[in-house]
Amino acid sequence: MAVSVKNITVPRGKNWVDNTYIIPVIKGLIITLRHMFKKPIVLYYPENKKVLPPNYRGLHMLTRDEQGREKCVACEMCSTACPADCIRIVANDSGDVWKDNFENREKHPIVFEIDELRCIFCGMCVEACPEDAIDMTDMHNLADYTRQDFIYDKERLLGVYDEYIKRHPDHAKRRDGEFKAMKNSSYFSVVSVENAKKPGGH
Amino acid sequence: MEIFYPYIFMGILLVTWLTSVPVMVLVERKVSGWLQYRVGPTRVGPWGLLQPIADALKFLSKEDVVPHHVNKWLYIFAPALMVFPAFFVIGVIPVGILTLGGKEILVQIGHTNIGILYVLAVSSLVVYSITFSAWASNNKYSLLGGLRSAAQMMSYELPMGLSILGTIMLVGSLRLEDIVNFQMNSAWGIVWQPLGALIFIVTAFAETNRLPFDLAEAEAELVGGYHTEYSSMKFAMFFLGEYCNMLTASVMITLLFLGGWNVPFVQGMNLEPLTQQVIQIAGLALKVVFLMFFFVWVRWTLPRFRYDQLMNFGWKTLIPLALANVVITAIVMAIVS
Amino acid sequence: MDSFMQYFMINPVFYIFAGIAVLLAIAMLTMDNPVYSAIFMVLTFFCISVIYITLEAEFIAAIQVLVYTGAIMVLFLFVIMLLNLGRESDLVERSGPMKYISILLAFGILLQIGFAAKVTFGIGEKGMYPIEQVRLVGNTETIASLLFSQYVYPFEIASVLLLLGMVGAIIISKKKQE
Repeated sequence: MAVSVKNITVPRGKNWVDNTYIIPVIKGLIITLRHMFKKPIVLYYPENKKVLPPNYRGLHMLTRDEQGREKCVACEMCSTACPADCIRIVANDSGDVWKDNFENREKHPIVFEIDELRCIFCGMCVEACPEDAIDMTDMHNLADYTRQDFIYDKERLLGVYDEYIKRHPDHAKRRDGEFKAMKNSSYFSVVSVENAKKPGGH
Repeated sequence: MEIFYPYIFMGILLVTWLTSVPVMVLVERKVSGWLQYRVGPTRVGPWGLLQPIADALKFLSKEDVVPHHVNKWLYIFAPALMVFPAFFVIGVIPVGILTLGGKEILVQIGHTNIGILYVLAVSSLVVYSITFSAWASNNKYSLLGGLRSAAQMMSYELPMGLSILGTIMLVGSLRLEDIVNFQMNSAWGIVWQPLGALIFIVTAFAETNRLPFDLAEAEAELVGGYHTEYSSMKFAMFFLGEYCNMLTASVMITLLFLGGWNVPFVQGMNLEPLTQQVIQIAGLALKVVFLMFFFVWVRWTLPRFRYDQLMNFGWKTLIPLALANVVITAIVMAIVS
Repeated sequence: MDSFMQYFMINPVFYIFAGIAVLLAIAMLTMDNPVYSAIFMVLTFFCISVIYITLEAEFIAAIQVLVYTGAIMVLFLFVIMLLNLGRESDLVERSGPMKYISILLAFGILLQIGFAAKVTFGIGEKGMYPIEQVRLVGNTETIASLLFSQYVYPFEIASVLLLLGMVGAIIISKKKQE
């Protein structure tokens, strides 16, 4: 295979004054100086947080239906779709108890684990889910002490839902793509940057 | 009393140089922030003013790692060697004149005939610290960074020496105080020697390893260069030395080309001699602070040189220009006199 | 011994730094590692520049530091570090019988220096440029006026020699054109 050679001509200035680079450097200095007097776009993080969009892909949750039961039917569509292979599901026969209360559901998960360290937060599991049972939240500041702690089991994922639904009661609308109707919803009124107090001497 | 003045000045200047380092660190971080739509440190103290103290405490409390593969003696010796020339150089730098007890006294530690040469000679020793730390670290990135930096500093010492030659020829003395007096009686050095001033400022950036000449560190390609293997206070020593050298470079630029402690119009105001002299020293400090700001300002304006560009620029552009400056100055002086 | 103390009292700084310089020079010779040798050589140059200062030759002292320690020794270090010479013991094994000849020669030179020192030890006659005159005119000015008047030809010849060396180095290092 022949090596392709690319000849690059160094761009030169229009005249010798430009080629001394003195005036261009001064121009550059003036540009950077102008930037110094612009308003900083900094958020003082722990005091005020950025308002995340409704379709933000953060930590997963397992949703519940109106009666507070998990929606998951253990079809393993999510774990099949997962490119990082981070979802582990062990399905079980729902048995008679579930059949009675739950619209003839044959299976339900007894183990549902997501390894949040392996997860790449692509949202494929959410797309794949036929029951809207798995969804993503705006929680992103995960921290823990061991790797084991990042493997979220079923109870924790349901707990995430409980916590999330408290902050965003209108969560269901989000799935329907009614972003415009949600202007006054919880998603746009969490902590606004302007109202929050700035720390330090400012 | 008079024999104690050098020691008093020594104390004052040493403290000034040392305390200027935290100030410069703060200026660097704040101005860097402002230039990038950020705010810089704000958490420690009012407006983040105590941030340098927090930095120093952090450095002191960090674990002091000496990797097992290093050459131990040189590894420990090198950071100390960085600070040594930085403080050694204070010896001949005059910062003003004070009238004490009815006598005009130059605020300078040692009065010597060879002020500029002393500064050049001592500041050229910084290269040893970088070379030793690079070699002793026993790390290929460190060695590359150190060798680059040593070659760079040696190449830029030549145009630096040549660029001040024009000023020396005009003044006819190597004493820094004579150079300042010359500028007080006529115009600032930058008016007499615009090309010399430009070359000196450019080489000062190169000698202090500041952007756009920071090839010694070149974080992106050399993982920090010569101080990759250093931690804790040893790393802080490199910082201390670098900022002291920056301050020295700023003071030298001021003394040689920005009139030293000359403040325009203050001599015509018929003030008390001591008031006037204090204003002049404050003027020098103000110029130095501006130059410190300028160092940071340039850092965020110009990208880093590539190594061959750096060498070509030094040897093929700056040295001929500096030589031409010397020749032109000599010819003009011969015609005028 | 009395006479030595006499001399020592006249100029203690000189004797202290001369002693340190000799010790450093011996350390330089006996070091295993060439990098350490280079470091001791740098320190020796420093002591010599201090001796120049005691002679009130500040200009020479500054140039000594600027040129020898600031530039030439750095290049030495470059070569040592990049060639990775290793321990000196490897070098000694390679030198063979030359070792004995060099010891003999070194001894001869030592004798010669000793003889010269014996003859001229002590404060000699004052030359054309005694310290009083140098103080009056200034060290740098004296050197400059001498270099550009009385010694202008040797000075220029030396500079041409250096230029030749530089040109030669460039030609050797330049790649051959095909």
